[in-house]
Amino acid sequence: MKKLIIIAGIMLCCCGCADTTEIGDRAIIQLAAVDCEDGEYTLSALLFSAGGSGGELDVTQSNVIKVTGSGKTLGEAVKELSLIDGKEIYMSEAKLLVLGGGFEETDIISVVTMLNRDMRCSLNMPVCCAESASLLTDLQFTEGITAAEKPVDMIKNAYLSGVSPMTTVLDILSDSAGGRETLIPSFALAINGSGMTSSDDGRTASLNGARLISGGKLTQTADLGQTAGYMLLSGLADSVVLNITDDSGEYSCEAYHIDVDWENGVPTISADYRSRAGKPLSYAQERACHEQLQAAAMQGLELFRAGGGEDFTEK
Amino acid sequence: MISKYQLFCIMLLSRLSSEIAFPQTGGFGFESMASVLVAEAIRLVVALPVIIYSSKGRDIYGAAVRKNRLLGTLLGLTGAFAAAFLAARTVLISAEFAQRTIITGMSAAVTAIIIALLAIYMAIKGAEALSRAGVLFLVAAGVVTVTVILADIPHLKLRDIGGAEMSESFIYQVLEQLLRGGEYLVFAALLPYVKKGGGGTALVFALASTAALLLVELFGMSVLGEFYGIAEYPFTAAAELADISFFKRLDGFTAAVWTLGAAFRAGLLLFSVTAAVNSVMNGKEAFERSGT
Repeated sequence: MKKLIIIAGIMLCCCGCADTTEIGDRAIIQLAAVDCEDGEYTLSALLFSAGGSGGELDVTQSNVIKVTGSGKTLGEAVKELSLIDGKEIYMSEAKLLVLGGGFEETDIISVVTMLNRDMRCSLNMPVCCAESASLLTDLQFTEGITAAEKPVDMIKNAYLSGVSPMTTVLDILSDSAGGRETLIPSFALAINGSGMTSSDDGRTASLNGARLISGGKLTQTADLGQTAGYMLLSGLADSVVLNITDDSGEYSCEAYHIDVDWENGVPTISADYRSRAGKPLSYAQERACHEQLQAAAMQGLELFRAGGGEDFTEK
Repeated sequence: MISKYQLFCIMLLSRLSSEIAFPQTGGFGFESMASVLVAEAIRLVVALPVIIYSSKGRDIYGAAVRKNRLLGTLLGLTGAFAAAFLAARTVLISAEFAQRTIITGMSAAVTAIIIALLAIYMAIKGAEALSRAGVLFLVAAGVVTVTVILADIPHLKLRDIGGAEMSESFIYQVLEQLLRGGEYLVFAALLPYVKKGGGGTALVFALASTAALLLVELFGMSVLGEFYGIAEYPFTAAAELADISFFKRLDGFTAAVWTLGAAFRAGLLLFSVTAAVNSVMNGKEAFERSGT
């Protein structure tokens, strides 16, 4: 019996030895951007480089290399990426997936399924979109240990503020299996200061709203206001920051415990309010917050209905 | 000789490993849970004679042979054949599980050979070794499973599990659940090795295994949503989501532990084959000695 346990223990510990690759022989993808135009898949990736040289390298950033591969299928694009870099592609540590505008015509679900099932991308990996998928790989954020950290932090912060969704691979696959639409955050090019990215002209990317995935493809586009409204109506926003002005000045407040009641297709928002410092507000301030919150929710009503919220609006 | 508690533990380990290391049955929601209940009810009804007999005797195959040589032999050999079929199925499926989740560089055939050799070794060691090892395996697998559940708490959501369309029919799901059984064959074959009691073990096992399976399904559906119905190995997929401190991506560890659990299940079923055949042979000898 002891031998059995020893054998089992050795098997348990050695299972990883059957398929080993030295870490230096792996192309560790930090951020992957996928697009599909005219039947051709393009995969741009930021690879972690331990001390690398060659490729499109900025000497101030020695830990990232950008490589692009293309092919008739996503698998071919991945293979080309591997051939160009000369290493085995490793996507398990990818922090962000960017989908390009070409997915208005091409199925997203098969791509995401392939990345999770075959390339071992984590179900936890956030997904976003941009008109040009390579926007984030071209810019290469300088802040953070990896180039993908900054955009992920932007998405997380916006989600906590209630202005943008945070959608993962699991959300997309689960919603697709359940016949629901999915809202994913959207990035756009912005000119905002300098030093945020490897670009010298102040170019950066910022969240400019969201897009719906419906029937496996990118459909409706929403601006920040519509996205925030959708988040309120769908219950995705746990708390929302509001800024109100009255005779005594400007106040930054927070709405929490947000609830939505539907009557004849019209939503009524109710919430508790407090100042950002956690102090209670006066009746007039709470009323101002409520009006602002209600107006914000109404901005997202059309998008909410388009996203399959009809069942709720009928209640 | 083994205790009834050890018997319960090894049967439970066998059942849970067939649920976690086998691919998804293609169901989601209440239908998936109903298929678990229906399959368990069918197994319980079919195993009822064994369960009733276990309260007054031990060796059901031998007793059947002594009662009617031909039918008893048929019964024993059918049980042995069924256990052998399930053991082979377990080896092949768990090899594919290991190859798909952790040992991607090795072919499934080689993995199957390794698992088969381990199962044969376990079967050769006998009932006592199997039961002692099984209890330890169950504890280890239980620790890993509980760790995964705790690490996935941030991902737990109240979800609507009623309305999703099934990818496979209800009949298929029930059949697939039935083919994941075999524990009552193990019970019948190992009963002669149980010290005393053992009569209520099967009933307790039926309740506990059904509850455990339903909990595993509920957990998977709460974490994965409708993806549970299309994921190849849902529990491993849920383990992948773990992201607390150094408990990140527990899918590899989970897969390794439950691959060993499945190998243990195969060994247990193989031992049941030999035990059933031995019971039939002993019953034949007793039949011949009695001169009837």
